[in-house]
Amino acid sequence: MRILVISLVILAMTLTGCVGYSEPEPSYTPYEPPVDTVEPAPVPETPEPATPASEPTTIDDQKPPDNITWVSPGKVMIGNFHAGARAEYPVTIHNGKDTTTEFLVYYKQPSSVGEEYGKAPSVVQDWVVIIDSTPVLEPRETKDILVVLEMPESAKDPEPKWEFWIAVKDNSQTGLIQTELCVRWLVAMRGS
Amino acid sequence: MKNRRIKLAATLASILALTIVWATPAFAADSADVTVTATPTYIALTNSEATWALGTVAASTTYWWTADGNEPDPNETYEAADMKSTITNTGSAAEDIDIEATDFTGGVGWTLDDAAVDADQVMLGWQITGGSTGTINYMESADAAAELKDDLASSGTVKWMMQLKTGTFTDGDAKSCTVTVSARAHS
Repeated sequence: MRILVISLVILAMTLTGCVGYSEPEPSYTPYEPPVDTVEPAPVPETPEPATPASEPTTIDDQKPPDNITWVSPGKVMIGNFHAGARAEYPVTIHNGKDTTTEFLVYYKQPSSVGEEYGKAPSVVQDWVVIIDSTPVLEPRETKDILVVLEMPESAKDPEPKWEFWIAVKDNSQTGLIQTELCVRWLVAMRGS
Repeated sequence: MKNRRIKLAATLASILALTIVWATPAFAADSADVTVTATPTYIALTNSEATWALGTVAASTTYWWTADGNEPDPNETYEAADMKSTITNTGSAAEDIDIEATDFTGGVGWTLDDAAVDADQVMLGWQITGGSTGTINYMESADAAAELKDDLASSGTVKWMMQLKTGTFTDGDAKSCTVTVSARAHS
């Protein structure tokens, strides 16, 4: 009988632990503009087991205007990346117009890159998934569009550090001159 | 009775072992050490003029997208008064501003070239305040975007203009192209 009770307790504890793991917290928290936090998002001390850890973005010294279109963050930095790894982060888009607007969200090869970084090879485009590439935003609406970078297990490491951009464009623009906003993604491979 | 207890204990032990075996791979995810951080800034810009109503154009002619539609003084550095449009960094941090253009579409189309005009081949270029006398930065659609302004501070502005040189035409269809001005966090 004692063996039975001990076994049941161990089994219950084990299963409780497994259930706790199977429903991890989301890897990021949606960005809320009016927060006054100054510190950049820190690297978490305890990484999530299955999904790379991410931290929320908070605007530093200025509250974003409601009546202009903007994207955030300016840069996403990924560290210790490697074949088979996955990282994700939302690009936040704000529609500053008074009309409902469709945006285009797309991968963009950088025209220039930061110091120590190389341009991402063209194959990286296949590693990027934009969950909603044509979001429609109501007037003054802010929306998070999740971007996932997943490097295949069999892929060769590009340069030790490389950069690509996620571009956002108001799809209702019709003039000769159009504007585009880009979020820089800076990736450092493990060991770089 | 004793045999039943032993069987029950053995069954529970087996379930426990299987449970542990099942749970182990999940804790051994290989991307556990990937880190993701982000800068708490937002990127935005405005450009005051979005159109260039050229209308009907003549072959082998130069057109100016300037404040008065005329060629700036070729003997002077380009001045703010010459410029047609103003880009403002409405983001929260310094930005680099890029510019790029597509070839013209419509009919046989016109190809952008940065060196010479020709049959269905035109030159489209830009300049900003302070640009060297007589120089225009011509674009080609195959090129990466050019940096129009480096390190434009938040709330900072840059004024700019364009020039179009036509070649000869092999059709009379309407043509259009897109010039894209983009902003990104300063490198």
